[in-house]
Amino acid sequence: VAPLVVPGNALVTIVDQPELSSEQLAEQCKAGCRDSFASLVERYEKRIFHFIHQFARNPHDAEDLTQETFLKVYKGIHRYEPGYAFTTWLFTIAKRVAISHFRSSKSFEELPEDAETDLEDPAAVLEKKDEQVSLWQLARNLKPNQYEALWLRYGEGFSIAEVARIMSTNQIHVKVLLHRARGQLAKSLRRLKKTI
Amino acid sequence: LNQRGSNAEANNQNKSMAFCWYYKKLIARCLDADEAPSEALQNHMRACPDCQAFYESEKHLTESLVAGADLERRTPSPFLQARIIAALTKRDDVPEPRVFRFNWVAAAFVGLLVVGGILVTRHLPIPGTPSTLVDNTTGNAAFFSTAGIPSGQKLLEWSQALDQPLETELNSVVNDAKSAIRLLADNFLPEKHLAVSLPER
Repeated sequence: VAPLVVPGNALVTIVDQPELSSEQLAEQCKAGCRDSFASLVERYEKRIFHFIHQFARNPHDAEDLTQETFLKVYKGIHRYEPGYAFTTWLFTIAKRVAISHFRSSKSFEELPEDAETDLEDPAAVLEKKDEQVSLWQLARNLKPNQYEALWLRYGEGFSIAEVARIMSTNQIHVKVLLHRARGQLAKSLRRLKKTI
Repeated sequence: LNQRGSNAEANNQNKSMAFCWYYKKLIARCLDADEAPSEALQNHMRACPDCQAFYESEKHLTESLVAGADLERRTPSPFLQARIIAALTKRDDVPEPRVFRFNWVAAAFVGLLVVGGILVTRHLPIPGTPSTLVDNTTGNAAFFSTAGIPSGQKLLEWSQALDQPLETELNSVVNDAKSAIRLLADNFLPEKHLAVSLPER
């Protein structure tokens, strides 16, 4: 039991109930249980923050958008259908919040499908991180939608169908994105090995 | 015989290699679905070092991505959770604009108008209706006089005065038709047919 003191003298007790699935917590939240929502926030706050951070590249914006996402979730919890995974629904909302924010502020531009990104020289990445280069750091040089698909599939463990739902696209497109991303990563790794 | 046998084997291998693009697609599909490679795929990989290497490399890549994800994950400020809950509490404190309720009030008002309209029109006389209905309106005479609406009896009289008998209507239509035909005949028919075709005036 972790009592959480929030401004305005409001005290919300966050009791993480590991025995309850997220879907069950969402159902309880639908019935008006504020503590269940707090548990959901605790469970997913970091994941949503990281997911949004990919679009934001700025921790302050990412935090604001994470907050907005959860407020939207709370407001629209009656629209959640228990037949679907709660996480998929949550990530879909997070994606929409991030995109609408960055489209309105015109600081987010999706690259066209065939556009090639300028891959950072792997050697430079190596120097930057004192030989602690991870594959994900190389992946950051991929196109945003390739990185997003890669992260949702391997970072968050969503299935292809779930990734497609979150990205508002079809499964074939997700498979193509993953295939291209893996190919691009393999190429970068080969270049890196040669440099070493 | 040995050479022929080795040639056949090489041919088979070449055929197998020609389908490598297909097997690579199968490999990617297996990895995407987290499934083990099928029997046919395993057989091909045993014969094709290129596909085997591709499979190993893709598998290693996906495993590394899964394993490295936790290191990559960024952590938000420790106060973010409290911020979200506080925002929620604040949002609850501020009442939202009552647009939804206003819609209900408007709908109720329109409903009342419709019901009122139906009630009023039910008591209005219909022209040609029996006098019993008209008599019913006498009870509302005060209402009609204050609203400036003519009484039922008056409306009935007006409608009877305006309504001509059907026979008169029909006669006037027939007469109009006859005069039109005569006009056409006078202007367009030859004289030899005119005497036969013209109806009596």
